[in-house]
Amino acid sequence: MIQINNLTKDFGNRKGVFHITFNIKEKEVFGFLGPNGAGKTTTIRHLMGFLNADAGECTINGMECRHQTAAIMKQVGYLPGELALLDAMTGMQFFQFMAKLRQQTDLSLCRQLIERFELDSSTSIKKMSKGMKQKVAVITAFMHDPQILILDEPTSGLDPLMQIEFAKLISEEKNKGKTILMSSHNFDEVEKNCDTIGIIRAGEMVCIEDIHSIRQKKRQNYTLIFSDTEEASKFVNNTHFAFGQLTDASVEVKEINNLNNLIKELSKYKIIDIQSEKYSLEHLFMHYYGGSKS
Amino acid sequence: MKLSSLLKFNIKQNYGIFTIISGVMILYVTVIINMYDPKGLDELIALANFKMSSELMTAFGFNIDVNASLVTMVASYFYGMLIYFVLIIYVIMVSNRLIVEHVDKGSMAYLLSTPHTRIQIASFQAIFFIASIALQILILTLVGWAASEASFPGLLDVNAFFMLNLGVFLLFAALSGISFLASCIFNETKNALALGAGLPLAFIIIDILANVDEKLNVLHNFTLITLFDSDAIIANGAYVVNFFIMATISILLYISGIWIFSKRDLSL
Repeated sequence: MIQINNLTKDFGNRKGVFHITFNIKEKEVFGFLGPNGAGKTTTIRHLMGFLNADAGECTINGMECRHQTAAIMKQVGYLPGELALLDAMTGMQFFQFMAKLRQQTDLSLCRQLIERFELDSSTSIKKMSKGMKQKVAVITAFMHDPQILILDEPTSGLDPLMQIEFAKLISEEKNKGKTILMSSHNFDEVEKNCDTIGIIRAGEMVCIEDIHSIRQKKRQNYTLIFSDTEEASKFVNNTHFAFGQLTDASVEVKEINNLNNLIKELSKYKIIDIQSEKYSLEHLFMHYYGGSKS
Repeated sequence: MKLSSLLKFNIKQNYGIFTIISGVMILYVTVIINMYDPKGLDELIALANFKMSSELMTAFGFNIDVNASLVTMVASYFYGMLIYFVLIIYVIMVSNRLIVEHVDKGSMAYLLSTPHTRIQIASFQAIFFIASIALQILILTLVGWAASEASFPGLLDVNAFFMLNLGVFLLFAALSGISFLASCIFNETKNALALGAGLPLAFIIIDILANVDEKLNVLHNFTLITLFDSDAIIANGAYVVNFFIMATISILLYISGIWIFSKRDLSL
């Protein structure tokens, strides 16, 4: 559905994207991961036809992205990475403005989304908080029920409750057969929502894999809080897991890929708490590439 | 119309400046027309000379003799310079809002995420711009005509007055073409203003300098404003060629703006 083939855009200073190639199949949810400045937005701008590629090409549904924009946009919902709404309008006026430009007459889906994301659409956009503006952007991308969604960091600025609501929306859209590209720099978010993950770093794709094989390769660290120092040292002396002692009673076990083994072993000890470390992109890179960052 | 909501947005965004500029022009032209005295302009000229040196008078385009006709006086006192400064403010502000401000702020991303090509969006904005300038001048023409008929029935050379206004429209089509082109070329408002406001203002200032002194006459070759020759229009001289040149320049400027906008990288 979305094809990017050898896409290259050199902004100089080693900025840009280089030889990006990936495919997003119909009904697939593709998570586009990478640190800030890695090239996610640049890639997406090519899909939207804002930039001329130095080399390579991208197509959406077989149509060339730079020149067949008008036809492509009939099927696309876009959420820009930067909040750039028309300030002078209220939320509702903006939705009506966009609907008219899209020649969409039915605003019932728009109203459902407004209710769902609890947006006060009569507020002037100028006076909205970042989170409210982000809701406007989300609704704008989804309100015409497009077949393809291109979302550039869709959850930035949304509070945790709205992020959960957004995740639900994504899974519903996925069940409706939508093709979705969403970028993020948060691994957890992508892991929850996506089928396939592509990681970009310094303008180059470093991996494209489906979420299951990533999960299998994923190594997770856990912090174990034991009931007392004695229990902790008993564990430390007997375990074959890699570990690091944090305080007298707490131990971090590292790079666990089979949680069952750990749980079996831990059943012998008195544990107060287990905390799993938030899985950051940094870790993903480390585990994937043995820590080599360049 | 597919882009009717963009039209609505443009109108909402610009009717304020449109009304102010239109109001100022109407006020000026009405006052100037009522300063006319069919018995001779010696008093008016004496009064003006009392306030300004004769060099300054010619610099501002106020160079008429005592027996000048109504249309000659209006051409000299209003279409000689005042209108440039008033109308160029409208041109600069609106050209900026139509394209580059959307790119600079990022809202162009939304316009282009609807099923419209860049050429459609830019052409629409260009047509809106030209039409609004034409409307400004149409209102001015009708008010000027009405004011003349009210104060001095039958005294206005209506043909010459209409041609004068058509000339001013073509001049501003060309000047606005520069501003529009600048708006299409740049990603940032400040750069667009440097060219899109700087060059038309430079043309106006060069025109004034060229009028100050015979020795600076050569400067007339370096400003578009020379193409608008009110003396030739009133004397029914050879002004058609100039009209044609101004129209051609305008079309070229607008088309290149739209074309460049459709081809370039946008910083969205």
